[in-house]
Amino acid sequence: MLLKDKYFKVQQENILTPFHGVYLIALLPDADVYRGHFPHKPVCPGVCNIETIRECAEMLSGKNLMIKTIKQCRLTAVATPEVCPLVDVNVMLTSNQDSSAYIIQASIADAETTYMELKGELAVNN
Amino acid sequence: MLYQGEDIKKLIPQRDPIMMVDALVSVEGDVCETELAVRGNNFFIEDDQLLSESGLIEHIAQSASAFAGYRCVVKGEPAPVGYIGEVKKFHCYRRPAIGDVLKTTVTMGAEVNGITIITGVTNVDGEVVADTQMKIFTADE
Amino acid sequence: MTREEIIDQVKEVLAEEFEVEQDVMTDDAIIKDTLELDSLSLVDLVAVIEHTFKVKIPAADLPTVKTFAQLYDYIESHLK
Repeated sequence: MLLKDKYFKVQQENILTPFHGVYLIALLPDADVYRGHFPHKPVCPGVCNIETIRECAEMLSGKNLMIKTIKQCRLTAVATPEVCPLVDVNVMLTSNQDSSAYIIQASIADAETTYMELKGELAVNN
Repeated sequence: MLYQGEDIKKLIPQRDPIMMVDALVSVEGDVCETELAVRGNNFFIEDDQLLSESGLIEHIAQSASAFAGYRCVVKGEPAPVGYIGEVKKFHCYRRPAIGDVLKTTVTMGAEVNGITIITGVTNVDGEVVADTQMKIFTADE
Repeated sequence: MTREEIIDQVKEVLAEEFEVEQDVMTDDAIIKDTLELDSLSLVDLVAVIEHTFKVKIPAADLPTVKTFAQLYDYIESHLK
């Protein structure tokens, strides 16, 4: 995985059903990406949070998943490792009939703030 | 080529390791073209040696950022910092491989209260690999 | 383009973009509430109208476009 243990670290897994999991993750302040996003002003790149959701969906499903479509992904607040060192990644998957893809609904939030909401489709790689 | 190499840093605020535009190739009205060669050391290259979908999104976002930066720089203003507010109708048809050159067309659309809609289409060798709509917040530094 | 054609086309494109039923878009309904618009989706509205009718609604004119009837008026008077 691209970002697991480099950009984020899973602190706690809460698997509610095989298709619904909540991952409490720490956003690592020393992640390499902050050297460039932005110099002296670390801000979580929105795309890294999208990638984090994909990786959590892979952990939940145990499958290799590709983002086929993002119907809508809203970045509702600026996240930084300082503002939100710990966040919940909430992942809900719905499998299609032949199990070749999942509809995903996910969010990244802490107790006060929602940072991202995503709806899309993930294709299962064979 | 309008801007390439080190000069691209005049247009976008991102730096190593996540600079995802090599060149601003052309600008015409509301449309610009950018390029990125996918190298092995790219931040978004995964274990399977292909670029991640998130890397494609970042490339399109930075292409829009370079376009916005260009418009300011030609007016003698500093390049703005833009944040992605929304990604909508993104499709990834194929993940690019090392050695591929991404050619991306960004079209600036409606702007309301500092939020601009853009559409981006990325081609590799004439084949569309990804397209998306995006909304970018522009923050004055 | 007649007003009826404008109304039909507005309803069609907005129903698709915002996933609402066409019949909720009554003339006097408030656009913002009906389509549940916020600052981001407001830009979608402006973009969809611009794309469909080639009519730009500048931010300064938005306060005059509150209801669907006002939107039809605006498009009708700015259509080339």
